[in-house]
Amino acid sequence: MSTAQLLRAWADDLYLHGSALARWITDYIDLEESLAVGSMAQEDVAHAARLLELCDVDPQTRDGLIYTRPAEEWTPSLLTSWAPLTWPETVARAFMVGTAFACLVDELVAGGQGPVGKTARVMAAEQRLHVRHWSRWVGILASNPATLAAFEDALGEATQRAGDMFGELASPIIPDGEADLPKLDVEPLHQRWRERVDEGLASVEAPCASLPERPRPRRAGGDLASLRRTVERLRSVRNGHPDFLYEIHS
Amino acid sequence: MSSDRHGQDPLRTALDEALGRVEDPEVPITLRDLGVLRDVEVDGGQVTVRMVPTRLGCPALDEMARRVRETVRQVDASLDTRVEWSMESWTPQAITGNGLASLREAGYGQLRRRIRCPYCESEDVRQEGLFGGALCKTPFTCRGCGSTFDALRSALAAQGHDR
Repeated sequence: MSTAQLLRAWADDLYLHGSALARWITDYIDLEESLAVGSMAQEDVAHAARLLELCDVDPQTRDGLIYTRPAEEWTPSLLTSWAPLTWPETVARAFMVGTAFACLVDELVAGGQGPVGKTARVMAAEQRLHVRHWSRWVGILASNPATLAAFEDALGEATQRAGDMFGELASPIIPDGEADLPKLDVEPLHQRWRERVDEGLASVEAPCASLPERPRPRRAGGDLASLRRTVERLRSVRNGHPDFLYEIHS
Repeated sequence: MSSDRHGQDPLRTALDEALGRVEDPEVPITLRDLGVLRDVEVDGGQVTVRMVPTRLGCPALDEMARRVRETVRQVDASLDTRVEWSMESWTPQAITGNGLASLREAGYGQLRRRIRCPYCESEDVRQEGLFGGALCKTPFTCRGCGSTFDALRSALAAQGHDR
């Protein structure tokens, strides 16, 4: 799997994750948390766009990937194609996604000073705040007897799904590109992520997570049934109002 | 090519002055004073404006670019404008002296070595979270006078003032 294919798969992950987070902007009664998830949702979607830009995907093509590509052709992780319903599930997922993406962008930063390294450096700094925020929530849920059991269940579900975040595609359907990207090795990335997850959970005295020792392969569509529902919901405004004029932003 | 009294091409002078007045869509400060608008290059009929976003996910980037293009068009409609977003981390150190004054007047926290209350100038302030009402804003409470305010902080700078 090339770096371009990995980054395009990760663009699917971040877009789905950011969109799922956005749901909590109005579901929550805590204004501060609404502001936080709103900001992080915006940034995750923006980082998805930046990953596609690094792969030389223009804004029009990007729009098609989101709004017309069949769900079977998406390549998200089982983790991000899952639609968590509860706050503990959202926290568990966000912690996993955030720590994994931090490992990915750190590796891109190490790739050099060129455009890829510069963009990755900015994304890494912005994502660090996300990881801090979710780590704090992991600590809160894990230290409260009223929420511990629910959080343990959520962490177990997230961990079971997360094993393919650095997985190769079983049958690559993502076009490879000509973009000038550093070579990334997914096995060491997965190991670094496992270590970071263990350290992060231990630092807030949270239960352990049992990520697999090696990355599992991704499959097209991820959790396809869940992804179909998610994609349909995300497209509902545009599909419901095809007569509207939509601007494609860069 | 004739020059103005600063020894600069009149077109370039007009562009610099006009672009220096383009305001941020949300915060009452010019893009130049905010440290977002960095460079302007003119090559024949092509104007290239380099800008640095405060955050990658800032929803106002397209509006900022639109304002820049419209400003150039008003100076000379024959010019073609390219806006380049430079992928580097914006920091509050990029804000000019004029910009700091504008922000203080608008009630934003002042960054010297530490965040300072815009109302009483106390440095005894408490950060109230990592995220504020916009991506580039962080909320603070002043322990000195009890006021609440926002400060513009970059992701790189958000390591201090932990609560």
